[in-house]
Amino acid sequence: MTTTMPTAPAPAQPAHRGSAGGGLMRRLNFGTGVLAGVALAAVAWLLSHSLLDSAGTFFQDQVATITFIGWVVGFLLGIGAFNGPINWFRGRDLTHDDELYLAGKDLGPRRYWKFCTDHKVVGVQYFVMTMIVLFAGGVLAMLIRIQLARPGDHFVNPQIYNAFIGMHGILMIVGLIVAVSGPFGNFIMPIMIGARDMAFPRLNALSFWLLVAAAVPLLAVFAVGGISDGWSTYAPLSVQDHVGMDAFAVGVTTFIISTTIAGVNMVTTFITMRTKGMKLDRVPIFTWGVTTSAALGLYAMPFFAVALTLLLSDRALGTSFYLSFGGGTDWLWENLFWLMGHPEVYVILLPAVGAVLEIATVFARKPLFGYNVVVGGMIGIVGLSTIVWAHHMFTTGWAPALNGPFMLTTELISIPTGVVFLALLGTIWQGRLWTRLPLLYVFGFVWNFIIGGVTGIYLSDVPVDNQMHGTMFVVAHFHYVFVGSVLFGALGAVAFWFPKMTGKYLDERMGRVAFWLVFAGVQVTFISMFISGLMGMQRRVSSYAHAMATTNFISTIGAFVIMAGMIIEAYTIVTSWRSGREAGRNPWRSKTLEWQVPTPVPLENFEVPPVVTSDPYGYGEAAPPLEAPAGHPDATPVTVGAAAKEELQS
Amino acid sequence: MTIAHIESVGPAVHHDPPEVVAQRQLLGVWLLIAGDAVIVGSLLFTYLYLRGLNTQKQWMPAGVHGASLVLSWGLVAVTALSALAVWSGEQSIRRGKKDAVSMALVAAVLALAASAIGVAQLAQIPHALNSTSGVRQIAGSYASSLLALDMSNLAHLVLLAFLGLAVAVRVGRGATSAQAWTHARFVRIFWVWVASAIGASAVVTTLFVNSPH
Repeated sequence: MTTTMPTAPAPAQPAHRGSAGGGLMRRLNFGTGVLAGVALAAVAWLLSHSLLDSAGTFFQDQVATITFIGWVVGFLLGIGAFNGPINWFRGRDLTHDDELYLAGKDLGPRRYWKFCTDHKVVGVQYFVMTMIVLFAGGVLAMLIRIQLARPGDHFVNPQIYNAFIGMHGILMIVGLIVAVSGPFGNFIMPIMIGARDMAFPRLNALSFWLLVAAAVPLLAVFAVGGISDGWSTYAPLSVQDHVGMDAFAVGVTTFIISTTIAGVNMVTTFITMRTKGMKLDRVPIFTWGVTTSAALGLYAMPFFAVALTLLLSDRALGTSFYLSFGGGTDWLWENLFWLMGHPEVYVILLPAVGAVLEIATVFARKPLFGYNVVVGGMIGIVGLSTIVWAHHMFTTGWAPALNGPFMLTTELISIPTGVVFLALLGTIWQGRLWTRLPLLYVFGFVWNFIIGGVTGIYLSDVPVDNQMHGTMFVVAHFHYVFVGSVLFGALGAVAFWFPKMTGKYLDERMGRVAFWLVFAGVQVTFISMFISGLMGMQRRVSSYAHAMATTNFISTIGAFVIMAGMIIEAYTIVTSWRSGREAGRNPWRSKTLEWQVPTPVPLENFEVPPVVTSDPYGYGEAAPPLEAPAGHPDATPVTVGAAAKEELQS
Repeated sequence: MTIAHIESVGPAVHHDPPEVVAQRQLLGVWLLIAGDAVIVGSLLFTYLYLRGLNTQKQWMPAGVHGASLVLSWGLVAVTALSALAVWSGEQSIRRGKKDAVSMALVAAVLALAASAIGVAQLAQIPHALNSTSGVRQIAGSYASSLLALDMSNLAHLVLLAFLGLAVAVRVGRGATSAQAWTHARFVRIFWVWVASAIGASAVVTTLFVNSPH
């Protein structure tokens, strides 16, 4: 492999006008953000109490909404998110020094607590935040499974159980939406395409800190009454729910703004910042996964923002969007929600699929099977996912005449999905498999996704859906997709890119223990859950018939096995990060650009922009392998030619 | 086979050329508008959908009348005028004319005037005592949908006023000039989009008032 990265003197920078943030910009951080957020929330609370009619029907919801919005605005103000627009308004653009400061130059670990624009810092921030969000959602899952371990409301009452269900759902959805795109879409993707940063670095930082701002109202939901109606918060129940619903709506809407901004940034980065020679058919497949996901999110997520805003309006302003006695309808909620809800599945899935395909090429030492077909499949998934939403509404009575067409479109989407899946199998097929931890997660993905995918096709069928809708069968299906596939893709991505992000290997032995626990736990939990569903057990119920006790108990055991695996995974990540084995620049002998730059990656990634002259998956076409490393986890495959052979021998 | 050569292409360039940055920012603006269009489209869908259903005949309960066409179309006219002013201001900036600041200010003032019309529209949203809930609230789904559209318009107009003022300030300070006018172009594109969205709202709320059911 030819890799030349000569250093060159930096040219004189263009003149910048004025001074941007002065000292203030340099003093703002997470702490000032929290202080300002709390202060503005308090001010909003006091003002709303003094200005609004406390005897009014909507008073509590108005106060809660204004207070949580106060938190979000205050936090962003305090962390410096508005410095850019304010300075732009004043005609004082950032100087080069300011830009370097914002990018965290010479700030050390402090930059992780600041409004830092370096995409690598944002990637790490997302990584940690994702772990926290998924852990919180996971704890709630355990509480749910404790409740369902045996029949009867023996652990918590139904109201609290409902709150567990709703918050588990939304935290996991939020966590999984950002699980791959957040850490790796930010850290890895720009380097992969030969860019120095994202297209809009400040928007990048803003999207992350909006996520942090959103987390507070979301976690505060419990403190203000919880939510009773699952993460889908179907109206009109959600209109009548506790004040917790206001916190939920503000938190989720803030998160949607975050994902929309991130979507704009990622799509623009992909289209405009590819380096010379990085043609569309040379772009690493992970980048396609992230970009198609971002584009789909840009289309889909605003529907949910509108749905939630109208919900807040019904609760706090007395409108009637969802209340039939005022001329509204719950079907409006269902349409707006699922216009987001089904594309959102693919927003979550596509980056994980991209990561898995990327890993498969490296560890099978083969070119990606059917690259163009895979890209076409991803684009096909994006297109079709926008016209399948009503399959979630087969049993609601909305437009029965459309059940057939929506069944057809839903079944059609299995074609591009299946094509991508076959390409994954084709890539692994007869490869020189190097069974390190990342590849194990690919195998896990393959196993789980086939189960999650095929059961999804069953459910797209109207007669079957009429039987299964609202049962634990559906829950098992989408957990096989989300946990079994997306989480496995995400964990595979962690194992794969951890050396580039941290300079250390993820501990292989502990990682394998975690993998097998999570894998076994998923099978035990969700196969039993399929059976519970087939027996007729409804979802979102806090108790059930004694006939389902055994399958539920098994599911609970499986869930705790998953949790044990995830705790070990988290421990492995922390310990490997602190004291893991040094990995070097390119431990997997991968050919994509992110592995060609030094570790740790320099501030601007490339001293000079790289020029790409061929596709990224030319494995196995040089010298024959010295050995077949399957079964030898520590062995390194030698399939990249003489240069790699020399490197290995040295 | 070599997959990726990384070669020198000359001196390091840590800042992309302005025209490249401008292209990138332009795409970002269009993508933001696309996301915004989904929001506006959803609100229009909501209006038309609730009108089509007329649940419990509560689209327009007794005593509720259609919104003022004078205000609706007055808003469109003022916003369109402001868009014209922004466009003219952008031309002035690109040609280095001295009236650029005043045109941007005119646009901002017109956006503020349009915001005032928006507030007047909100003030006319009918409220009534709902016999089922026993609560005085916004009367029916027609008024609710109007409220959503009006608030969306108002939020956009306030943003336009901010942008117009910003352009005036930036031109005044020389940050936006004949040599660096791309931000004025982005503002103009967004401005035209907002004017179009407000126009679309007015068309829908004018042509489709009474429910067919």
